[in-house]
Amino acid sequence: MKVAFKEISKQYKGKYALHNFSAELERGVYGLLGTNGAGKTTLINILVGILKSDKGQVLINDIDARKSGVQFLSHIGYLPQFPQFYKNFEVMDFLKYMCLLKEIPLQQGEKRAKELLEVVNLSSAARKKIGALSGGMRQRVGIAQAMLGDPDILILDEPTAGLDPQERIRFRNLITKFSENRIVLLATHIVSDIEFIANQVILLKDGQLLKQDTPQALMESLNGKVWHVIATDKTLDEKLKRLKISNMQRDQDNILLRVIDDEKPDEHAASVQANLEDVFLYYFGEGEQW
Amino acid sequence: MVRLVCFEWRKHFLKRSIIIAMLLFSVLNIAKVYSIHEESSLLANPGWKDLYWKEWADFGGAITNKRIEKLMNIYLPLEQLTADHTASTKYRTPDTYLSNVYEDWNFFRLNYVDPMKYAYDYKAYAQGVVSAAKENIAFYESVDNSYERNKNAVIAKLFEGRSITSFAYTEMYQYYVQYDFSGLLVLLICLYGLMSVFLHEKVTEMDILLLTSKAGGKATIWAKLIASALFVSSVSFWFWVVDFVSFSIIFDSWDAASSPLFMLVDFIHAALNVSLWQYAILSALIKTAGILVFALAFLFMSILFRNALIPFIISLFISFISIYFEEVTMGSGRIWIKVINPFVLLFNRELFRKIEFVSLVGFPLPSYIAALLLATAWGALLLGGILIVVRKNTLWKGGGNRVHLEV
Amino acid sequence: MSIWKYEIKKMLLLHKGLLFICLYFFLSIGTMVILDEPANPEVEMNRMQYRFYLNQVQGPYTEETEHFFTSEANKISDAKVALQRVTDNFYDGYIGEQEFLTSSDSLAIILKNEVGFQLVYNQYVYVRENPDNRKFLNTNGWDGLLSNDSLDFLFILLVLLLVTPIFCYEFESKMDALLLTVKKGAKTHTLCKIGLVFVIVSLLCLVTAGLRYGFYSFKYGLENGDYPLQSLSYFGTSIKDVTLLQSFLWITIGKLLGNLCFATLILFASVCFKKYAITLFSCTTVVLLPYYGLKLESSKFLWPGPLGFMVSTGFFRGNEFKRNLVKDQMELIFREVSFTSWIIVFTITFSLCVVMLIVILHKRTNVWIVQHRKRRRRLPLLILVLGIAVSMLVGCNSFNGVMIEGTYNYSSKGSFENDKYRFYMEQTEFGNNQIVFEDKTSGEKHNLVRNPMTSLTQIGAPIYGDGTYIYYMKIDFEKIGFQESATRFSVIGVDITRFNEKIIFEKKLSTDKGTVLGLVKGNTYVASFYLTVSAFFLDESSLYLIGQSNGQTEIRKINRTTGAMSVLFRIPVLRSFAFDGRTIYFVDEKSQIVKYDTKTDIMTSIIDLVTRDFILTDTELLFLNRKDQQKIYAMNLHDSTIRKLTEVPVLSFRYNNPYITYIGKIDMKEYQLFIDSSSN
Repeated sequence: MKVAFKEISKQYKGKYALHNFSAELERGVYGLLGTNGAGKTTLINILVGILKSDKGQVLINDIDARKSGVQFLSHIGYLPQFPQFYKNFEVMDFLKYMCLLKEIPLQQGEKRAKELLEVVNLSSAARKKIGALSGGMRQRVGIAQAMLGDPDILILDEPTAGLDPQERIRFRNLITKFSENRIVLLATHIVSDIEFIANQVILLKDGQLLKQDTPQALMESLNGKVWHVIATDKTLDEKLKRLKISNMQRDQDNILLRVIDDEKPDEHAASVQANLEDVFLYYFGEGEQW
Repeated sequence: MVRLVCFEWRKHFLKRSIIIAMLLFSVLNIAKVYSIHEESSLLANPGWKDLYWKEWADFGGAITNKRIEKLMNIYLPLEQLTADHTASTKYRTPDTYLSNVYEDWNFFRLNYVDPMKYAYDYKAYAQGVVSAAKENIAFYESVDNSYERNKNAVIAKLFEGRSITSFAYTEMYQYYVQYDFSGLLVLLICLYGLMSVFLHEKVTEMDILLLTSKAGGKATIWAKLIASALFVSSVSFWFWVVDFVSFSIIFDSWDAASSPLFMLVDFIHAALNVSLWQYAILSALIKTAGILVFALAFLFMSILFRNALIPFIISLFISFISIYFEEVTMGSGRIWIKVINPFVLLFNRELFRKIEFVSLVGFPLPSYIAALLLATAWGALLLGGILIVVRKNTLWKGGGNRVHLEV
Repeated sequence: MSIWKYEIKKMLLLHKGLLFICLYFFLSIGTMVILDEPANPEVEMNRMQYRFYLNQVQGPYTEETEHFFTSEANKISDAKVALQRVTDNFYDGYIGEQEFLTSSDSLAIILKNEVGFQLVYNQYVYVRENPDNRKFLNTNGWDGLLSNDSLDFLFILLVLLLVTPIFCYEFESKMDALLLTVKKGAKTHTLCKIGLVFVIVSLLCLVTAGLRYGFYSFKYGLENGDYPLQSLSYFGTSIKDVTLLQSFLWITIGKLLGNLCFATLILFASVCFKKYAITLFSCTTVVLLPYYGLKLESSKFLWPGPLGFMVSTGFFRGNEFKRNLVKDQMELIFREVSFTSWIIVFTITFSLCVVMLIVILHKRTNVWIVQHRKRRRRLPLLILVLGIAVSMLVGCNSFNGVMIEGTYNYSSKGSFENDKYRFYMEQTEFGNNQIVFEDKTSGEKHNLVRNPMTSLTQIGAPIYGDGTYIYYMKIDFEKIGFQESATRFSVIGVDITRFNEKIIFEKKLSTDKGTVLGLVKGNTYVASFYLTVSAFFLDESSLYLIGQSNGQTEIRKINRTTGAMSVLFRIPVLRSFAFDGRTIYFVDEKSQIVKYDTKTDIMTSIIDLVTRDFILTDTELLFLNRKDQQKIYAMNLHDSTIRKLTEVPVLSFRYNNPYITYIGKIDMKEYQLFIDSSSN
């Protein structure tokens, strides 16, 4: 399975939400990373067919998605941002309903729903009303419904937003589990989610593709650009103004600053290994002032 | 608090849909007033209108014997000519004002003679009422009926000195005071506008957040209530102004504004000694009070549910039931039943066209005051209901005793 | 389960649709049972008599019918004269009892159904205006079913409750986006929802129509469905060539279309606005405002949209005119909707529905499924919906039991007396009635009706008194512009000790739609009866009115709580009449006194008591004995013994305890006679 975006553009009130966006996705987990308003949800909505692009094409295995028509939908599983679902439906009933809408035969669907509930650890909540579930549980119902038809493409829009750390870890593991032999497109601005599970990261800024690479490569591209600088209370203000700082940590009288800079910011500065947060800050943190 | 009210106003009422609805409804309202003019006004006929204002120079203004004489000099021959229905119906002969003598007779009878006779006779009629009331005072005293005695004393005082000295064109007011359609429009807009006041917070899940902020509890609820009251008042006043202005323009009359309310035949026993313009303002205020009571009912309904579906339907149903009972009791002598329905404030001619009383522990209370007091009681009850049912922070005093009634 | 089943489950169970449907039927049946009043109550009150004559003329107007009416009218008037003659002859001793009984019985049979004849005759007057398309039939059932332009407000609320959540709930649950990404979640799902709405609304509409048909069929009967629609006066001027049953079916189809259009509008608004409040608001206003706002009734049938079809009856009405008294010309009050106009309205409405359905499907479709999409119009949806909206737009109180004291006689209907006062009617110098009372000891005279504001109120001449209360009746008027109309009939009780007034009974008389929204409207037939009331009396549960209907004097009983009215009986010649608190005494067509027990509804004739003039006292029945040259006799009420009081024939008499004042028939002089009831 291969998904290709070809020069996708979308405008809202004269402003580009997506501008000539092109990218290719093959098997693996893709982290769609960008600030709020970067165009992540717009891109996902175009991919799943909720929104129509003003320009460009989406190709599935080199065939225009438009030509695939309804068949295309059987390839995708989608978990929208902040899903609520029918509060007065029971979990199992809801999954059966989704099976019906996805044209999954009844028995097969029921079996698959049970399996998925097992996988997402919700078997005991199968007869509970959705309205009675916690945010994390509801999110797990969401991913279960997305996985119902064993889709080739799994699209998750901000799936971990609002989850506690334990739920988030559990969810990340689920994504990894479900990523086998399929494309998983994970839109988020939570860097750590992507850092641990994404094979590729798509950096989206102002509706345009900034960079697409593996997390490792992106981090390596920042080698020699991430520094540890020691500052005191007296010098801190001057450094904050001058430097792009990704982290600060007080160590007794001194303050350890993690600085991102193309050049060595200080003669005592020590080069350190970059992480994905640094990458994020490097590309999206321009003009940010402390 | 002022800023909170402003925010609430902006949040719930500064909506394009409300503004468009207001504009559309205003156009519809004006069209409706126009249709009343075309259907009912004597001067909708251009010939009559021209003649009316031509004759107005002679007969308008202070009622004097000279004017009456002049009018009767025109009218009595017409009456004689038409009495046996044998006069010529030949079209526009030189000695007729309009198409024929019958039309002339109708014109003068309906536009000048009957209204002027009413105005002229009113003083004597009012004196008759006063003397009858005074006679009643003595009579009821003799039978030890203090309620009736007091009632008649109020009537005597009310009618004392009433007279109509000036002849004015009152047709516009005759239909203006009977006009109810705008009340329905206001009610519908308010119903729509108010549905979101509390429900919006639930839908956006802001209700919980609001509870946790300092001014998000009581202050916000009061801000919502004040903003709602302001919205309801604004919508109401806008429509009452549209009513008045469109009636005035379409009927081409600003003339009778200073005439007394009892100048209108149907208000011969008017409950107040006010002029027509004063009544227009008073009526607008009372109608607004009525709408406010219903607004509280709509808000109360909306608090009980999670979305607007059922509260909207229940509110609409209640409104129509109230209108139904208003129609059933209109003109009834059972005053308590009439005034207990807050809708009577909206169609308040029923309260002012005739002085009526209810007995409050033996004291005669004018029906309009009773209606206002009962509406206030309804309002207080609903307000209390809202304050009890609305979600509160349990840390507040009494917050833990929240009555959870959400459906 | 199929998508259908899930959608049904959502609509009927999760959204409580089933509960609302049950509630609707409960309220609908309740309002029909409680509020329905026959279009012509006279027919229902005289069902048997009406039936008797209707059965003879039912069907088309023919020459035979003409002859029938002429001969029957003559027969009735001849019978009246003949009965009078036979009675006179019998009491004057010219014919024997057997002959009298034979003749009078046969004549009484003819006269028994006179009121029925009058009712059918009224129909005859209508039918003969245009005998080609009007036939004789019992119209109350069909009138109830068809002759109104009322909007089923409860049904509107039900449709709103059922249809609005169909899409709004998806938006509320934020399922809209997710549904679009699944195979059957877009078009199929939407079509399924639309289909379900159409099926449910259609079913409900048909069941409601069936229910109404059943109700009217059960209550009044719906016979002669094959008669032309014009047989009902409501459709009298219609030029549509349809039968009653066909009209009902067409109207039902029209209503079905209207409700489907309304449901489509709700679906459309909910897909566009995605929120409950604005969807409900816009759809409600599109229907209610033109309904209550448009002055010319026919306008609502000439504008596209659901409203005209939801009412539908107007499509079958003809041009109707009303005389404008001022302009002295006929003014159009209803413009017939021609077939061409109907086709245009239908086409536009249908097109609007199709456009709305297309928009719904379009908005609920996945982009990848749509092959060719036109560029999205950027016109705000709100304006689009409101534009459609505009196109559619422009187009008896608690009362303590009455303790009857003394008796009521028709001859003293304008007066009443107790130990302290004498009440009577006095004509003022302006010709108005004024009820006054006189203190028997001091001779002081006062007005009984003490309301100083006498204008726009007319006090009726009759009064009725019991122990502590004196009752009078009044009619209130309103005057708007130059038009004055009666608005309300009331019976007021005044307590004789402190002269407080209380309302015993009220009835709305105004038959126009002027008040507020015109939800409550009086009945012309009922109002015309109240305006002729010449006497009344009452007991703890009922009010009895004596008035005129179809040229006959009737006594009607009215339930003081419910206002339900029924005809107790007719009085051929209203000269004497009495009520003792339980029993009504009146004179029948054979000049016999009949007693009617108001508690048991048993009617008995007092044999051998022949009179036209009688007065009931507490212990006796005083009467002018027709069998003894109109001399005054008295019958003891306890043992029924009769005694003669005068030896001379009497022209008229009155009773003022313990005196009888009478005028001698021969010398025309007035005499006073002391009667001692105890001596009897």
